[in-house]
Amino acid sequence: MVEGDLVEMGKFIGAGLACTGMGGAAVGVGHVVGNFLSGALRNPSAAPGQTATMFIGIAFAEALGIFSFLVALLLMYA
Amino acid sequence: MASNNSSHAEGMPQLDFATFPNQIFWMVVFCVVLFIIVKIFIIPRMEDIFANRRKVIDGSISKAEEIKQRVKEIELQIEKELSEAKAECNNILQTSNDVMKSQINLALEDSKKATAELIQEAEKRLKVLRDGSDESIKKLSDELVSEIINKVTATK
Amino acid sequence: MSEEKTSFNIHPMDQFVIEPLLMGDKLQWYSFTNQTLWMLISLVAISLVFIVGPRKHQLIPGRFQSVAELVYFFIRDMIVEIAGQEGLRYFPYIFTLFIFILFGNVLGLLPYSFTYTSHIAITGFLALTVFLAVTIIGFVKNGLGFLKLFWIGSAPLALRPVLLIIELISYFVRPISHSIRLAGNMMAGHAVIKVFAGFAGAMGIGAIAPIFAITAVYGLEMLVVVIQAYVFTILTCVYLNDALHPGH
Repeated sequence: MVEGDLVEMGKFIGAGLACTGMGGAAVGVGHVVGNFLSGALRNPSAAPGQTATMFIGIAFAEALGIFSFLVALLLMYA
Repeated sequence: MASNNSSHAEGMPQLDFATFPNQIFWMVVFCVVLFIIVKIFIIPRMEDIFANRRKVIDGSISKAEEIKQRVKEIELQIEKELSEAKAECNNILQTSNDVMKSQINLALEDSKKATAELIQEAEKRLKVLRDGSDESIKKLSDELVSEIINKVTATK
Repeated sequence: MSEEKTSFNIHPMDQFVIEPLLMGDKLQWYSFTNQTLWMLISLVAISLVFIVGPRKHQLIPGRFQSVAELVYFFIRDMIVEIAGQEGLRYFPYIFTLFIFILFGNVLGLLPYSFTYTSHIAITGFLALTVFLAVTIIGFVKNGLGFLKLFWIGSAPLALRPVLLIIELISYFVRPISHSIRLAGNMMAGHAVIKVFAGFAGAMGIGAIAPIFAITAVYGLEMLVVVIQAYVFTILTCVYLNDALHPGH
């Protein structure tokens, strides 16, 4: 059952650690959307013009989470 | 690498650089074809639909405007006719009033004249009557006086 | 796949393998691969939605036509909103980009399909094209005034060199993040579904839980594929706006 070597183990541990970065992305996206929503509820008339900005913000926050996912994938497969 | 082992991917197929020329070649081909489709078919069609809709909407708006104008004109006309009718009514009222007044005046004059005549005649007759009565009283008193004298003298 | 029984029999990356379908078994630069097939399918789907759908030119749109109009005018309004009226000149390019990515993403959600937007070669090439095009447009439209994008006039003079470095780095990182965001999202979603599917295959009757999870992830992916296509396009518009109006 136990096969592979230390390098293999290190890869998998590293991949798992890299995935914690996705939590940061989750916090970031939640922060962006939550603040957008609280602003939108205060001034609903200004909200539709700013949804695009919100999506851009989400995209920036999310990209970093995707980077950490990519690091995990690279560790596991490349 | 992965491309010649079809059962399982070893590593990430995305990082298999041997496939890159193939992917990029076909993507460029399809993007160019898609761009031509967009440029030749999709955009004119969509713009056509949009312009068509715009035209219909504008047509309806202008039609509505026209109808509004007509309604305004009709309203104006109605107002004009109404005021004309009012004026005519006033006119008729005025004239009939005048006619009535003049007739009443005429009738009043007539009746005045008639009463005046009547009064005159009555006065005349009264005068005649009065004159007549005076004479007869005189005559009667004369007779009476002579008779009294006769009687008085006769008894003496 | 099932003949070798190991403890870890899940191969989430198998779905991204490019295999030649026609013109020989060996992959050449001209081979017709499964990826090419799905590009062709998405081209056909685009033609169905945007050409066959609204062919009747109805005044009040039917189902197909309203979808086509919705997508078309959504992108159009987005460009006008973000890049201004001048951005409308580049509308055909941006619209092509959007529907190419959107249909690739959405069709990739079909079982047994191939998601061409999950390949870094595709998204990287698209992002690099956008980057080069935007840079060229910026220099052609504004000349050396385009460099004001990096030399921020409203900042204090002492801060400007620092900001210059930051702006330069963020400018050149753009194509990387632009492409990896899309490819990574697509890859991640499909790999997650595949991993859960592997669990379902290994768990027998207990497979109900992973199947529920697959359903939930699939629903999320439906949202993600559309949003990622939207985000790719909107970032293209933002970059285009930077090129057209570098002053602010």
